[in-house]
Amino acid sequence: MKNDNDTIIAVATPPGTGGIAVLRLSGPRAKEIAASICAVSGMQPNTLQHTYFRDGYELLDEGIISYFREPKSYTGEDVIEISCHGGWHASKTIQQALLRHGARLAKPGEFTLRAFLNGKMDLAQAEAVAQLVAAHTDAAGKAALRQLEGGLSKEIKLMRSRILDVMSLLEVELDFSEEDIQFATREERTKTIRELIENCEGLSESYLQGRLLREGIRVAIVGPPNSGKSTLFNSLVEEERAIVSPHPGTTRDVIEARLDMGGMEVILLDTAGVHDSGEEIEKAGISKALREIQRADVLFLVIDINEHNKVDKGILGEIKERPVVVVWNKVDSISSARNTKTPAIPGVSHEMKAVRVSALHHQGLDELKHAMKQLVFASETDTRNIQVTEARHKQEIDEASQSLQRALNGLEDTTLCAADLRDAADALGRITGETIGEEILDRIFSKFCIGK
Amino acid sequence: MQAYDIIVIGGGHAGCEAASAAARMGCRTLLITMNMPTIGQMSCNPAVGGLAKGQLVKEIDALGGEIGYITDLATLQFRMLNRSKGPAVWSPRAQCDRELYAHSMRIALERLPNLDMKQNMVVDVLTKGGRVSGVVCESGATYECRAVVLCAGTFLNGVIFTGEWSKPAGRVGEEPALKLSEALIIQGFVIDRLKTGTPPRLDGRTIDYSKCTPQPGDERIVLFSHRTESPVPRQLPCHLTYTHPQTHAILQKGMGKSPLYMGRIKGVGPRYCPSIEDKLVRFSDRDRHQIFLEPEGWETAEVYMNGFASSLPEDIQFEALRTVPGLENAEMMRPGYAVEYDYFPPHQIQCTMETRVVEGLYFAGNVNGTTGYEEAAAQGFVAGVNAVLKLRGEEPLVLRRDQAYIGVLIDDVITRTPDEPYRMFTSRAEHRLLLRQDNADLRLMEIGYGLGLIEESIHERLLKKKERLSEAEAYLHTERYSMVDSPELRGETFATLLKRPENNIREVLQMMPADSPFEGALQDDDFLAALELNVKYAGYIARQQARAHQVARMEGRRIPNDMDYSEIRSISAEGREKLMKYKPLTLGQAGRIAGVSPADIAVLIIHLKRRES
Repeated sequence: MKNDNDTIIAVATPPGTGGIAVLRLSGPRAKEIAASICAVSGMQPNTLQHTYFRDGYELLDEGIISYFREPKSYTGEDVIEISCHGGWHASKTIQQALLRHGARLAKPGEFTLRAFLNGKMDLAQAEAVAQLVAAHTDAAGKAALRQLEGGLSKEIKLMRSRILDVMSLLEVELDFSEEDIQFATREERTKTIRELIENCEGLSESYLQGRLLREGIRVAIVGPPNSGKSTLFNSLVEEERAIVSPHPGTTRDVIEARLDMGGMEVILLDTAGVHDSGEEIEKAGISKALREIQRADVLFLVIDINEHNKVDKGILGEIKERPVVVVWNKVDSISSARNTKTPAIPGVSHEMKAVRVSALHHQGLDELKHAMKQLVFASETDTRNIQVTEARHKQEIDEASQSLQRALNGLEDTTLCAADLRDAADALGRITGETIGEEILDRIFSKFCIGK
Repeated sequence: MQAYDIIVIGGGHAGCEAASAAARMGCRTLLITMNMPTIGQMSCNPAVGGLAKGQLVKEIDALGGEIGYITDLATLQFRMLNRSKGPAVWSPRAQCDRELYAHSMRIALERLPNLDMKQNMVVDVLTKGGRVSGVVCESGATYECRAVVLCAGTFLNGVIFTGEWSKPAGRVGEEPALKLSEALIIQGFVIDRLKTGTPPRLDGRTIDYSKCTPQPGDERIVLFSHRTESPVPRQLPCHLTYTHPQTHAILQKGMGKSPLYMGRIKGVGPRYCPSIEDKLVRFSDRDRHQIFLEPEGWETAEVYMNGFASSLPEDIQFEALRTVPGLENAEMMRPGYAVEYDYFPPHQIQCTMETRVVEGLYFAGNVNGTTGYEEAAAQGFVAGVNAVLKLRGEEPLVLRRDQAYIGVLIDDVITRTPDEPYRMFTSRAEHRLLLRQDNADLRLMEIGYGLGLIEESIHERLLKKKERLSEAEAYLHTERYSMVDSPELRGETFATLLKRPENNIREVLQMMPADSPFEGALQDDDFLAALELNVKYAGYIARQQARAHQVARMEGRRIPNDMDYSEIRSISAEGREKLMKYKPLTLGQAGRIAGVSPADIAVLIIHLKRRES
């Protein structure tokens, strides 16, 4: 189809004022179209060349041009990358010129689509590109990079091939039962399936962490009124976002801020103090706070260290079984002798992570951040560092896991066991694209943004 | 010149089904065979059915074919194989009286008013404007027709081998079919060679059965056919024995004279039903192999030596088999041999079994690279039916993979070039839990009835069975166990009890009160099996149906006829070559072509989308 053979262009760097902007051309005419705006002759693959970009007689910019010859390029086609000056103007005018010379503006995800179609990456890798582009922080970017390198694909393919091995043994048993052949023992089969289930569960657990990396960790600051929640919020955000006053119940609504906390994206929420209030507006604020307690990934329970006996029973009930860091605030207000011991909260017997801070004086904030990280990644036992970051992947892995569990229970009936294993293999295959279905492709390629 | 609607070439298992179906559907049909007495001949083992093959036979019967009925008539012994495995892979198999089988088939065909039979050898297929118009025989006789079904088995340029001796033949003692392959090559067909083999036949009077393990038949015979009134009254046993290390040593000695290992046979043989010399080479660590001694008939003393297929020299075969316990004094009536023959690589055939090269010409059976009576019969039936439907201008019979093993068989046959003769296995059916021997009638009989190949009375029985099934299922789900003797079970529905792994349907029937609507159902194995599976494996069946539904989406995506794969750059070179060769009709079919990768399919999907938009 002619469509496959045209040459596409997009600005690959994000809009805004960067030092340089990069334009990318891909397709059979990439070299020819690029040559029409610059005086570079005999471009060698994998070299950089300085040049001036012109449209007719008009000088547009100067910059660097590089050529990647097919199939050794990102898309597997001839690719030209142009680095010009940053900012909106230079890249736009160069792009306009290239469009006039026969390039077509790339649609969202089209570069990756071509890379996928040309066999440069599998489905999971293609999805990783979309994530990488959307990554807000380092950690999220790293997870996507690992996926792009094929870490997840490799793991999934290995698991799938182990399932297929077990399946083939079962099939031999079903189709050659009249022959005099030794079949694999039940024990071996059980062991392999068990291991596979563990693999699935490990990957599935990594999803939560993966999602936190990608979408940000939702941290809610909660606690009794006037314990200094808004002060802590402002300290962490490093600006006066929330109104602070000595009066209890100042914060009514939920205030939200996004920040980078040690390489991780955090959505920080300041909430109303929880207590028995008769006032209508405050009651609404409190019910919002309670909702956040259930929704957040991590809670900072802020308690005035001087008031530790007055913690509302209601809120303690609410935070039970939620990931909590107890923040003993206002440590600056007590004597240094008393300052060494962390008081107990009446009615709470189980151990909770606790830090001592002075929100007002920015004390103990690093410890708080550290405690939060520990809490989020407490379950991180996976040293292979393969993280599942896509909801779609987690769903398939969970499905595979359930099918494997059924296979384990159904070992009595070889045909059912085989059916379950086939389901599991198919679910995993849908992650890497070894089992192909139209709806998967649709879903994936609707997600990309221009340039990648 | 005599004129027919349809001419069937060959009177084997494919040819008989094709001729019978075409004649019964009202077409003037001619069956041309090289040898009248071998119509319906079982060339190899004296058995019908077996793993996955038994399912095929029951499907053919449900559609209105002959093989199941003839098998029931000729049964010597019946066994339901794989009983210890899940019911989805239970497979009926019948040892048959070879002569009674062939005789019964011939009588069945002779009763069809629309069917003529002639002994002759077809040497050419005539065409007019790319369409079949008749056939020419060796004698010069020419017959006009509108469609031809070629079911030549292993006869096209067949050569048989025993050691260094070889001879052109379709089967031992029978002439090969010459000239027809060459005539078809001129018309544009491509051929290749395949090989298969058969073991020695022994004189049963010289076998010492006391040294072998008897293998009796099942107590209950499950009939293959809905037309059969009652099973045969008695059965014969088979016997099991094993090769001895000394047997292997003797066979090794003769390897140098094996036509296979000397490279005289170029065709590829079957991996699944290997010759004894193949087994020695491939499983050199094994010190014994199974041998089944199978009676060839009620009367005859001839015994089939299953597991000992060989094309080694006659004297080596003889010396070797005498080392097998029980065969120390055995006499060999006929030596084993290998046969090599022409087949047509499958990209030349469509899912209707009609060739892509000549309109109105259909191929069925071993000529398509398959092996086995049941595989041949299935293709013959479908080819015969489709030849008729096309002449009538009606929609062809194409069975889906989730509908029948026949659907799996034909889809496989047309999408993959066999490395060896293709035989059916249950593992080839991804919807295996749906495709069972017990529900072949529920799946397919309406289709057979629609074709006019199922009698009114049998169809009525099917409708009643369906009604009874849904009643019985409802009863299981609503009625509760009420006996006082086991209080822990009281109050549970019978369906719940049946779902427990330790219970089966017969046991649950025992728990029911005397007035339950299951009177007489104990005798109906298929009914009970279908009922049991519907309840017990409801979750699995639902999941397989969901999978079938998903697949249907891909199957539903048709690839336009004018698709030019050379335009799609991103498809792998191998994928492109295969797609251009097989011209799949749907995305689903494309995905099953060996050599077409998932990535190729992804490319194809996106390409089709762009084309549409």
